[in-house]
Amino acid sequence: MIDVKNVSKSYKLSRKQRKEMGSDFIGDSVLAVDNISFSCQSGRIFGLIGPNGAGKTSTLRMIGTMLAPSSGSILVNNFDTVTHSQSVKKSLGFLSGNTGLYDRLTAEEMVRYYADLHEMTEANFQKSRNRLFRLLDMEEFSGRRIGKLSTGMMQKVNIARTMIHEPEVVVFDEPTSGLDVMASRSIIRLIKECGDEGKTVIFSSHRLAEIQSLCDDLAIIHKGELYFNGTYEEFEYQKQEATLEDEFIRMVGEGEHV
Amino acid sequence: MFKILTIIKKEMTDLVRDRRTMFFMIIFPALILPLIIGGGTKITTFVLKKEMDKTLTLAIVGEEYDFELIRFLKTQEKLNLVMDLQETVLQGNILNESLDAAIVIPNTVQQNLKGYKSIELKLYFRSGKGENLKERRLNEILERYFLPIKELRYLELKLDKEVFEPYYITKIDVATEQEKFGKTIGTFLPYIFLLFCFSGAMYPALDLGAGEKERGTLETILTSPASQIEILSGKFIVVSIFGIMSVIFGLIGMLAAVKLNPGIPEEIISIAMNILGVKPMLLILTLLIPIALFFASFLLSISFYAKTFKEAQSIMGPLNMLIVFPIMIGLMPGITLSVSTAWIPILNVSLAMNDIIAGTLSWPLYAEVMLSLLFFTGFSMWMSVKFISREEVIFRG
Repeated sequence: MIDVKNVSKSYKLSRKQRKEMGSDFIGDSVLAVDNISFSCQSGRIFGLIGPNGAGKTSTLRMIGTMLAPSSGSILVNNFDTVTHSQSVKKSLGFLSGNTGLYDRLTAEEMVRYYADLHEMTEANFQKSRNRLFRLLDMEEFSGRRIGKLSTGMMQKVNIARTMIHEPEVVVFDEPTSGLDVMASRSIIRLIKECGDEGKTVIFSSHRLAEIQSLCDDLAIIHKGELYFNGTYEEFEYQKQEATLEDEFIRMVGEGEHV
Repeated sequence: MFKILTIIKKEMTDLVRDRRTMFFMIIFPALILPLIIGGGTKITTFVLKKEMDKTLTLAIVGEEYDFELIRFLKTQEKLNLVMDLQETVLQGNILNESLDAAIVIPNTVQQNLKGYKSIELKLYFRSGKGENLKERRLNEILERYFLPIKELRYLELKLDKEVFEPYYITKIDVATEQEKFGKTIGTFLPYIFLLFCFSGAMYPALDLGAGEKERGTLETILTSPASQIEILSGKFIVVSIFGIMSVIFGLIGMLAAVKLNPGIPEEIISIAMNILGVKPMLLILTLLIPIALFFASFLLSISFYAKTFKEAQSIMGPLNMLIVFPIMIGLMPGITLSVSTAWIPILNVSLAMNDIIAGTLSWPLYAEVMLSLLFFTGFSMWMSVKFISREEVIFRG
C-alpha cells in the first residue's frame, strides 16, 4: 500500500535556470508537486496521468525514495520513504521508460546483480529467476550481452530486473514511452499480472488508452496539483466529455480543480 | 558490506569489458614507458651517431700564418677544410649552412709562439639545437693540437705546472649509485606514476558517474536496497583500483623496457632493478592507495555533477592541470620533501616517491605525508559523499 499525505516538492533553481524562467519569475525555487494526497491499495492498479512537467515523475521518484518530499510524508507498506528508505526499497520495484541497463553485462548477470543487492538466497533467486525467464521467454538470450539485444529483449530484462525480488509494490514511470507495440504489450501484461497477484501498482503514462484499460484508480495531476483523485468508475460518472482524452484536455485546459 | 562487494564485483566486470577503460588502464601505461625508454634511447643514439659521423666543413681564414695547425687539421677525420675565404663572409655562410664553422688565424701566430705569448683564434659557429655538438667536436680537435704546445712551453721554460695551478679539485661523491640514478629518474617517475593513476581512474569515474546518469542506470540503482553510501563506496573502490592498476601496468611496462632494451648498460639495469625492488614498490603503493582514493573522490564528484558524459569529459580535461601543476613544482630544483611540503597533497606524494626511489626517504617525513594524505583523502571523500548525495547533483539536468 502507498499512502501519500500532503506532499509537496520544490526544486531550488540555479541562476541560469532562473534566467531561463524569464523576468516574471520571482523566487529561487519552483514547486513541482503542490500538497497532493492519494492512496494506492494492494491488488489495485493506480494510474497517474498528467501532461509533461505536471509532477508525475517527481511524485513517483519520491515514492521510490530517490527524492525526499519538501513537506508531507509518503508511506509505503507503512514505512516512511525518508526515515525508513531501506525498508521501502526492499519491497519496491521501480521501472521507468528512462531506466537503463548495463550494456556490457549479460541479461543473466544484470538480473543476478539486482537479486544480490536485494540479498536474495540462491534458492529464492533460482526460483524467481526461472519463473521470470520462462514467463518472459528469456532463456534463449540470457547469456547475451545487453548491448547486443533488441529493444524488446532489453525491456524483458528490465522487467525481470524489476521483479526478481518479487516486490509487493511496483512503480512504473511512463514505462511504455519510446517502446514499440510489442515491447509495450509485455509491460501492459506485466502491470495487469501485478494487480492480479495482489501487488500495489502505481503507474504514470501519456497513453490514455493504457490508463483506460488498466486502472482501477486514477489521479490527474497538472502543474503539481491534483485535479482528480478517485476510482475509475467515479471518474467515468463525473466526467463531462465523452472520452477520457476529451475530459483530460478539458480539465488541464480549463485549469479547474475537480 | 555484502552490497559494497556486490557493487564492486559488478563494476569490475562491467569496466573490464570496456575497451576504452582497458586501453587507458593497461595498454597505454604498459606501452608508453617501453616506447619512451626504448624509443628515446634508440633515437638519441641514432641522432648522436649521425652527428658524430657527419663531416664538418670548416673554413680557415689566415691559413698562411700557421702551417702546423693546418697540417694537423688536414690529418683529422671527417673534417673538410675550406680556404681562401674572407672573414666578412663567414657569418653569412654559417647561417646559410654552407659552412659548419670557421677559424680565423691572426698574423701574429709565429711571433707570439716564439715570444711564449697567447694566440687568439676566433671560432665562428652557430649555437642552438644540435649545433653545440659541432662546437664540441672542434674544441676537442683544437685541444688535442694545443696540449703538446703547452707541454713544450713548460719544458722549454723549465716551469713547474703546479705554479700555474695553485688549486685543483678532486671530487668525492658520497651519493650511492642508487641515489645518483634515483635522483635523476626519481624526478620523472612520480610524474609518470601520478599521471597514470589519474588517467587510469578518469575513465572509470566518467563511466560510473556521468555514464550511469546518461544511460539511466543510476536511477535504477538508487531504488535498490543499496544505500547511497554503499553505492558510492563501491564506486570509489573500483575507481581507485583502476588508478592503482594503471600504475602497476606502467611499472610492468617499465621493467620490461629496462630488461629488454639492449641499449641500456648492465650497471644501470642493476640499479634500476634495485630501485624497482619489493620494498620501494610497497612503499610507493602505500602512497598510491590514498592518492588514488583522493583522485577517485575528486573525479567521481565531477562525474556525478555533470549532466552528460561529454560535459564531465570537458570539465575533467582542464582539471588535469590541477594535478600536473603540483607535480611540476616537485620537478623544480631545490624543492624537496620537508615539514611544510609534506602537507601539500600530490606534491608530497611526488617528492616522497622521489626519495623512495633514491633511497633517501626520511621516516618522520613519510609519516607526515601519510598523515596529510589520510586527512585530505578522508576530507575529500566526505565532501564527495555529501556532494553526490544531494538530489540536485544526482538529478541535475
